[in-house]
Amino acid sequence: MFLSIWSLALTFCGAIALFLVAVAARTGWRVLRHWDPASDDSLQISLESETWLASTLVEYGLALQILSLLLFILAADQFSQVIAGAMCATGSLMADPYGMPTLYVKLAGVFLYGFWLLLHQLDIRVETYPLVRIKFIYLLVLLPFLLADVTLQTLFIAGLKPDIITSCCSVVFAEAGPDSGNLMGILPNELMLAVYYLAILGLAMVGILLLYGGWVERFRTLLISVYTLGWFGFFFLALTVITAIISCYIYAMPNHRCPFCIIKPEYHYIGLGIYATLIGGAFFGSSIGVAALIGRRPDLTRPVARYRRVAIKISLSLLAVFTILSSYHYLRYLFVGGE
Amino acid sequence: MNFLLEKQLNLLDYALASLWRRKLKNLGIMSVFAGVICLVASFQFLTASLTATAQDLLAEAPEIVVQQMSAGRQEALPLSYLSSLEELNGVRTVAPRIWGYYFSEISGANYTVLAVDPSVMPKGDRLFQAVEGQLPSGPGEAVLGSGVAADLKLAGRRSFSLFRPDLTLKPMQMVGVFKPDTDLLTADLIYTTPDAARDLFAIPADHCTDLCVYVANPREIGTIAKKISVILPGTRVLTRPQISQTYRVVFGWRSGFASICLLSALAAFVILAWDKASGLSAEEKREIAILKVLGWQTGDILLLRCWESLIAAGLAWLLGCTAAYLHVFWLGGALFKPVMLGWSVIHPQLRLLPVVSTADLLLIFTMSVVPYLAATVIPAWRAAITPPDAAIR
Amino acid sequence: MADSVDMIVLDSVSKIYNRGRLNEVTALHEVSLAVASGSMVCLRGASGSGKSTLLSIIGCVIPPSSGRAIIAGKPLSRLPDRFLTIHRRSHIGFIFQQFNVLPELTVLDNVTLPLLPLGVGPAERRRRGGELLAGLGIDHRASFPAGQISGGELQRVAIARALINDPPIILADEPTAHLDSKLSREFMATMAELKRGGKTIVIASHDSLVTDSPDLDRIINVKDGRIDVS
Repeated sequence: MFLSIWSLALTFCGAIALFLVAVAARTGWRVLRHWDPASDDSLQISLESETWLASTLVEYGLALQILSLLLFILAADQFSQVIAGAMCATGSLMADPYGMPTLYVKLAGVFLYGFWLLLHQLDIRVETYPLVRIKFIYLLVLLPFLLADVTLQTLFIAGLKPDIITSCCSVVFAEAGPDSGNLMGILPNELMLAVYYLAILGLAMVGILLLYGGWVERFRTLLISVYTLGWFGFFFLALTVITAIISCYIYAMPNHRCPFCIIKPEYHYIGLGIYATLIGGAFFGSSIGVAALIGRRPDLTRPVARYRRVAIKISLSLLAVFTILSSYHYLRYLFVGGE
Repeated sequence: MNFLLEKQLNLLDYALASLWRRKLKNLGIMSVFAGVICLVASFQFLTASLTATAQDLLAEAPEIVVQQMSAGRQEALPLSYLSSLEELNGVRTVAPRIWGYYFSEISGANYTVLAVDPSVMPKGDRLFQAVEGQLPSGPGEAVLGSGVAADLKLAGRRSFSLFRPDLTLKPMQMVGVFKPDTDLLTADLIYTTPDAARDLFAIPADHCTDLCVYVANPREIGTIAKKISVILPGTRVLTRPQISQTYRVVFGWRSGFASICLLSALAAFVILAWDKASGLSAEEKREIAILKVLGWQTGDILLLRCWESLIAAGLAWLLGCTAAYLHVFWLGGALFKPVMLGWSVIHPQLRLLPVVSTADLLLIFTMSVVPYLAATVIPAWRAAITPPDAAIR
Repeated sequence: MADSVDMIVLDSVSKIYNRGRLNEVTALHEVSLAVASGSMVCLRGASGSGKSTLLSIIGCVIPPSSGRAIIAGKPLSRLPDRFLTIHRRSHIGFIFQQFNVLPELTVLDNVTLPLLPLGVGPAERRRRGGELLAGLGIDHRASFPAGQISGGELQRVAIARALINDPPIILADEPTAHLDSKLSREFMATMAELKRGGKTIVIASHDSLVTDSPDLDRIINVKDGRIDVS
């Protein structure tokens, strides 16, 4: 279904991102082959100025990735109106084997771009640019990843077949819409919510310990690992809880379990806030582990330590906002009752 | 944190002042860009609005329509089917309908002729609201859509004649017209009594063209449609959700097709933008060298340039979307309506419902601002690497 | 009278432009030089002598190709552009030939240009710029476009801009080339005052009004990319 303005916009977005990242990767390739900090010949000077371009292009790539993630979900929602059996975005994503994989790859892309930019920011804090090689090897990995993203997305769009009434056939019977809710019902709701709020509490405690607990110096590495992995796990836990439990309270419908409709204007875009804070929090929270991994070099210790404090503060604030946003409808239901 | 924010504000401020200093050149670029965006946005708004209008009107349509097929073509259907349908569980009522097309040789237009007894339709009284005048009741009485009324050149007369298949004349009497806000569906419509329609099309008295099945619970539409196709093999069963989807697909397809055509305009513009951003005057080069020698980083200049692009493109986007809104909802999308509505001779004169969603605005943003930014980033970098010692030599 | 600390130290510094290309040019040959903190020196030489290159290296605009350069305590050899800029903006004030103001911006905006990427807010910028302009006696011109003021005022705008970050080193490139003798003397008087305030001043010029100034501590002759100290 390429002849829809949504497919066009997605394809467009993908093509532009590919172009920009390809240009950046070209710089990466040149840097890996010719980088020589001791030299002052023209090539080295032009490479130094090209790294500005590469980092700006990856920043654009990140912006495009976030945009295309949003666009992809909105497009899936639009497609659902022309696909038999699809009630909302979930339906169209499930209607095609490439739907959900594309979504996952796009989501992962946001983190991958983000980590690259983190690496870049740490690198340019130090006069010797100690991370140049690893940074540009990483950049070269981004390109095939983006290629996979665009390919999956194209396959998804190509596989969608709208149901049109044609004069040759009788009824095109709608298959029953896929029931997205049931794959989530692993644990009973109460238990799930308890785990969820305990996880929030735990993350907040580890974060505060890392920020203000001077006496835990000895366990710093352990705490950083716990915080990083904790955010990683919480990200998936939160997605599950939003889909299986929280969304029902937002829709005020016990059987509508869709993680996507909450971003629509009917629900005051609350989903955008929920996902933005969750993704942002998970990014900054888990990034301190990434920073710690590459920050072992002595000349990086200071910038990494400074970044860690900032990142923990940001992730804790986002966690707080996320908790409020995601609990609002549930708490209102508990105290005020259903409509 | 604070320092970073303040720096961005400073650069933003400088970018605004810088755009303003070169206002003639920038306004030129922006108005061309806004024009292109207006075209793209008009299509999108028109599609959204037509879809919404169609959905609105379809809300009144029967849930299921049954038609008799023979040799792959539709033909008249005996009224005897009526009783077997009414017996089905969940069916509220069944109304026979006559629906056909009448080709007027005088004007070369196709009229849609529709006849159904309002008393058997569940919301038959609603028809009154769509009509100015009376509903047809006597022999040969009809309500005309605005397009038909204009096409017949009645000029104040109420009576007119149509040809039967054997070329004898069927006298008709206009008793009302459809209100303009239903134009999408009624512009080419002649609504009359079943007897008059049978007479006009020479359909046997105990036949009709299709049966409208009204269902009590919308969730059961699919199931009942399935049952009907089992008890009445050889019929075609159409459901309302399907018709609605078809509208969406057709409008979506047309707007997609039109967008591809507009992409060439967009591409031309992006090349223009690239070109404009690449040409660096001696004046600009000097300014950049001065800024750099005064302590601006390459990244600061790059950021400044990106802000400039973003402001210019963002303003053009706002301007283009506003212009498109006015074009579609005030001027009725005058430029594109022929493409979006049918190709029949009578174009509906409907007033479009203003529907603008955030999703559409984001979509237009992606199709316009994003390529512009992508086209200007490399030239911006080329400008930003102007060496600072150019200010000294 | 010189401080014991050298503000500018160059040790066998060479600069080769376009290295690795056909148009490779050696602009400086193993220049060694030290300028004490709080002194005022003049670089004298014809155009094309390497004077501007030397000034650019002292001003942290370009890194040397080889040799050691220590400016305000910071070794510059092969420092990436980004860090040169960071060092430059806090330690060097530039006064250019023709003053290099942006004619469409106001006087105040020109003076505070170096503060924008440092994230200094508008109120603070106005305060600092205003103070400097008042000190130089041209605060009544603050909101005039820089393209519309006289040469003498322009020169003071350039001085104010060089001082906005309170750098320890002031570099001036042919500052009197477009000034009449009265304004040139005025300029040198201002420089002398800054020197008394503790700034290290390097002026590139071949104007006798500059080279004959009694406030100069030293004249360094630059010729064909080499120097001889007199």
